[in-house]
Amino acid sequence: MTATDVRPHPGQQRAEGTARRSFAYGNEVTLLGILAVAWVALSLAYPTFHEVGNIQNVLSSIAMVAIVGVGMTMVILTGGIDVSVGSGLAVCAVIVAKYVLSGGSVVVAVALGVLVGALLGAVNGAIVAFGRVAPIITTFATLNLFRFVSLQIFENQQVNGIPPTLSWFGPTGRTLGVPNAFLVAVLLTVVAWWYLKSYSTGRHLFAIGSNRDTALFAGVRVARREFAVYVVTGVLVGLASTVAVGSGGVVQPNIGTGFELQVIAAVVIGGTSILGGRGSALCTLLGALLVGTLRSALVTMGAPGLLTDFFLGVFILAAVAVDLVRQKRRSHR
Amino acid sequence: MSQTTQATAPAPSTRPAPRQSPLQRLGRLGRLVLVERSILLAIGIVIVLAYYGQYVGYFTVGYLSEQLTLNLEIGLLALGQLVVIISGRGAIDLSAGAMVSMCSMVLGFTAGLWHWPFWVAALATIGAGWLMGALNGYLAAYVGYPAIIVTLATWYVWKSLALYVHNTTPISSELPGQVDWLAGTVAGIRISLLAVWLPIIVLTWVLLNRTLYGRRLYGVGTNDIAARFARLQVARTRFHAFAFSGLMAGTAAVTVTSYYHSARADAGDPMVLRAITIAVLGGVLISGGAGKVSGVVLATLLVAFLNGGLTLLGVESQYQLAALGLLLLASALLNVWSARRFGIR
Repeated sequence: MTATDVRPHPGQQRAEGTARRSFAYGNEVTLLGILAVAWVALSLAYPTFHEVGNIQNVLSSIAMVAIVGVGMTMVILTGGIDVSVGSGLAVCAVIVAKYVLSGGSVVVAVALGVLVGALLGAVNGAIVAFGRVAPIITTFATLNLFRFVSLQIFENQQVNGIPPTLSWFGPTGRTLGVPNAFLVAVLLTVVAWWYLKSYSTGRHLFAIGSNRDTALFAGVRVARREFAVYVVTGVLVGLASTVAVGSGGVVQPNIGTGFELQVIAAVVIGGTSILGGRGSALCTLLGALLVGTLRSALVTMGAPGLLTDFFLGVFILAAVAVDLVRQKRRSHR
Repeated sequence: MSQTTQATAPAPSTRPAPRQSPLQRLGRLGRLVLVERSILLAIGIVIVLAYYGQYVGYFTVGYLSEQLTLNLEIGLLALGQLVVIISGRGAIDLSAGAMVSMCSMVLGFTAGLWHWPFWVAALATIGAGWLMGALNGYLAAYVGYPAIIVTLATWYVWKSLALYVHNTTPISSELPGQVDWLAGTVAGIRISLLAVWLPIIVLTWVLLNRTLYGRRLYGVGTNDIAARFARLQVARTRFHAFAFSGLMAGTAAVTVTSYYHSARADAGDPMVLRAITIAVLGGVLISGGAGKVSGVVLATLLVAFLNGGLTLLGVESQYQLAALGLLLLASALLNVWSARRFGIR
């Protein structure tokens, strides 16, 4: 049996069936409900919260998390994890920033970011998929390696005076009042959702995450798929770096530290199982919105900035707890 | 009947011989070096020390013990990682460094700002470490969180809390003089090496090799389903593994605070990469159930002396970050490769 030929084979229809049921099960609905309650409560308590300006800020601030979250969802679906995205973002951002500073064009700058990101993702993917090293070990090592690479390119100085070449992606670039970067994130999310739902190679990611050995016996080219998801994540990190450089001005050498936590938070808060095999790109977008709302709410409520990561960590633990309870209920059924 | 055996007997010889790697052709010696990680590490240490021999005045007890002292905390955390990783199911403690930072602040507050007697403060710090490790253990072992996500979350929780409690400023001048006791020397060797590191190595070895708990830990790590059927207390065993890592973090916080006479919120930041690198270099398999104290201790020595050697060469600390990352990848690949070749478990 070749795994990539016909699309509507019986196994896939069953898989679509479960996808529909899990939709009815209400992950998206629950998340939307929580978001709505949070927004109503916060706007009642703080009238500035539902001002157009603040909503635009939230949307543009979560764009990077949502873009990379699409790739991270696929990685976590296969049962992997990528903690190197923050350092990867630093490498891409400094290269793009220096290129833009030297007077480069928009198209080449985006292509450069994407290409560098793909290269970094390929390093992770090759070691995980073909070297069979545990994803956490691999990406933990590359987290530090990429940080080193970015510091070398930064030459330990911030990049100053970046012209607003990429402002289309930045916080000021809006279409009909919605930040462009957020629109890109939505577009990517819809594409990923459609791909994961309707293409056999997309379904393979669920199979690998559920049971790697079984997927292997069923003829899934496991190593190739695993390699691909890390490269896709790298590409999206490259794209996110153009958003980071978008506003121009200054890029600091510490850019992207802790970014991986926000992305992983968005994915697991969206209900994608950290154990692999279950999840949805759509939910990750909602998870990213929830993370953005949380951060914005903390700022509005005057919580100290140093504690942002504290609340994110607690939030992740709570989200995974919900997933664990749901799993327990499912296994008792 | 005899015909069939005759027919099948020559079959294996007609098959192409299995492909041999160059190291396999090297024979028993190559195999031994790969299977017994201690031998490989010992060879590495001899090479590094022989390199030291070129520099007059560096191949001394004083200099070597200085290098070890700088890596003492990392050696302790690596022992914690060893125990956690052995417990299996992809367990790893990413929060160890953040626990050191948080515990360092606990010592700073109790001994410095609240003027507790030093020994009480030190015990409270180690106790705080145990509690943080126990929280990881409770969530990972009893509640069923994947270890990666628990320790990733608590990593940032403790890190940000440590920065917050004293508003990122270190506590130094308020610390009493007794804190420096561990930083003194006896016959050229640091007290902290003799009074902390050595006993803990021995204790960990005894724990893993001479107690029922140690046997249970290897059993649970090798196959937790089989362990459950053998009526081992799987969750409890895992819980104590994480708590042990917290104990190590608390102890490391006491020694690092006494060494620099300063309680810093970023004390543990660079430690976790080194600790995990040392554990993996020491031959601990991330899949669990395999790993030795001897491997981890020798890997600690190797990394410590390697760091010293790089410093002698005038290599910047940034490059050491890269070197550690590469070393981690290389040793992880070596572990995977030799485990697949020789079926080590």
